[in-house]
Amino acid sequence: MKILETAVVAERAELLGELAAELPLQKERILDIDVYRLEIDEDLVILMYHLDEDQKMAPEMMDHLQEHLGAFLVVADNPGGTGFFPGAEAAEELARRLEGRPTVVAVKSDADALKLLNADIRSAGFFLSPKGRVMFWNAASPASRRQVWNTLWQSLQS
Amino acid sequence: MRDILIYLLNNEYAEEIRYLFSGHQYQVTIIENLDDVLQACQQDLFDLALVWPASREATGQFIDLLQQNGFQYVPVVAMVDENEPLEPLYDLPLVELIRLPVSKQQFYQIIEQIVQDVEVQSTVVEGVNWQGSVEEYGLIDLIQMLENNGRDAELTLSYTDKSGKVYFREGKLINAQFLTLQGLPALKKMLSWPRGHFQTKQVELESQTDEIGLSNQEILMILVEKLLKQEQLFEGLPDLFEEIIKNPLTQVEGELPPLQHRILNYCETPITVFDLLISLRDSNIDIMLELKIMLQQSLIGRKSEVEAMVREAESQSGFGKFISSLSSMFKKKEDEEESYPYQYQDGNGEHSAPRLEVNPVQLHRQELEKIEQKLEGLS
Repeated sequence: MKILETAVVAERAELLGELAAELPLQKERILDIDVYRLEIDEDLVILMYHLDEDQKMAPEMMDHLQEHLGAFLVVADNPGGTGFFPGAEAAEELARRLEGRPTVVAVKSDADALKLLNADIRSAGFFLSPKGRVMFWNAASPASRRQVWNTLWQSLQS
Repeated sequence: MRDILIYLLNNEYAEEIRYLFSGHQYQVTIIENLDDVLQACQQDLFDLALVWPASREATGQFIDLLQQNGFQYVPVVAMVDENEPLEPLYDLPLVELIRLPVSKQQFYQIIEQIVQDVEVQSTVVEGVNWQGSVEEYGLIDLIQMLENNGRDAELTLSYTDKSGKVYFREGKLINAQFLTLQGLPALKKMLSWPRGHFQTKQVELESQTDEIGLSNQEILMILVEKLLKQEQLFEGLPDLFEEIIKNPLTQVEGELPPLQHRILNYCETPITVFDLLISLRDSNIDIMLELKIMLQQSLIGRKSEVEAMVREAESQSGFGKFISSLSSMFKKKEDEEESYPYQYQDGNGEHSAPRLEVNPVQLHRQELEKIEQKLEGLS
């Protein structure tokens, strides 16, 4: 069985819930961290480690992530539109440091602002780093949410 | 529109190039083979050439080729990778050296400045057709010069992707067009361009009617009066080429007036005051008045100030701080590995830390398809 390990950071816990609304995630607890398990089939499982600022991360978990982390997802909120969002600089710095690992910053945007985006940007997002993209999504647009997840997995294609 | 030639020496930079040029009106031609450079230069009149990433040898060969074939007028910029030394490039006839990586804003400031400097040097106002920089001859100068010329002419003013036209019949100004504006409103929009390019062309305009119906002197009086009013209004506003942006921390209460709403839409991404003035068809005076109100209400602000406010809010909200702390944790581990106290010696006598190599998990095409099908099925 192949296990794909990813880390998720969300500005607010609800954001992750909205982004993953349709995904049949099973919540587990590993080393005091919430881990969401997405079973694709019997041969492929995706684990998403939810890194939360309110939870202290055990050094063992950090060691594990250093070695096994496949990709990083940052979920941010920007109700005002699709421009500069709180956390942008920090996310860019994170992507730079994780340069070998795919990083997707998923910015929740106002539905109207999302419609104003060019179709290419809606589907492919913006460049963040050689293996990083900034994507835009909205809870009312399942296609935009699916695009975020697909971009994250696609970035791991060999 | 500017024409830029990029001599791409390493395809890994292609995505960075696409990112830097996205959203800006540049015609970019990418050449990967030195043999194709001449053909490209024969087909297009390039404003600038970039060697990306620049090495001493490849950049020297590229410049030699341009010089030997009569294209020495194309200014060349070296885009130098952060790991490459700059010194070997110092003796080459380059207009600029830019260190990679470079921020989008810094890149455009440098590129625009270079192109403008080159334009100023190439102003020609002799003979039948003129061209040059509006920094040297503005609209009011050009109207008087074309009046003295006394011929039918079409004057084009352009700045990045925007251009407007002014028509003269036997030196008399008869019409103007800019965006969807015609006549005097179009002229007023082109009045105070501090940057841009002008070009005049001799044309036959006998059949065209006089849409303005005023003498050149009357038009000039109106324009000068407008100019003075605009200059007064500029006080208190950011510099024309300073970027402004919507303030994401200020919530809009109620319905905004239509012009403010349009301004706010343009300010979703950083935009200079000048770009805003020439993008909206409303009169510059109306735009400036609304800008003042919006700045006071903090709906928009100077980009640097808004970003500082957002950074401050970030540190208060903790989200950015949290991501930063994660970044530093990853960085710290890498540093620790470098200074691992218990070291082995490798075959070369060098010390190296023992490390567990775990290959990152990658997905095969079939696995990716399975995931995509699963997501499709769920929605």
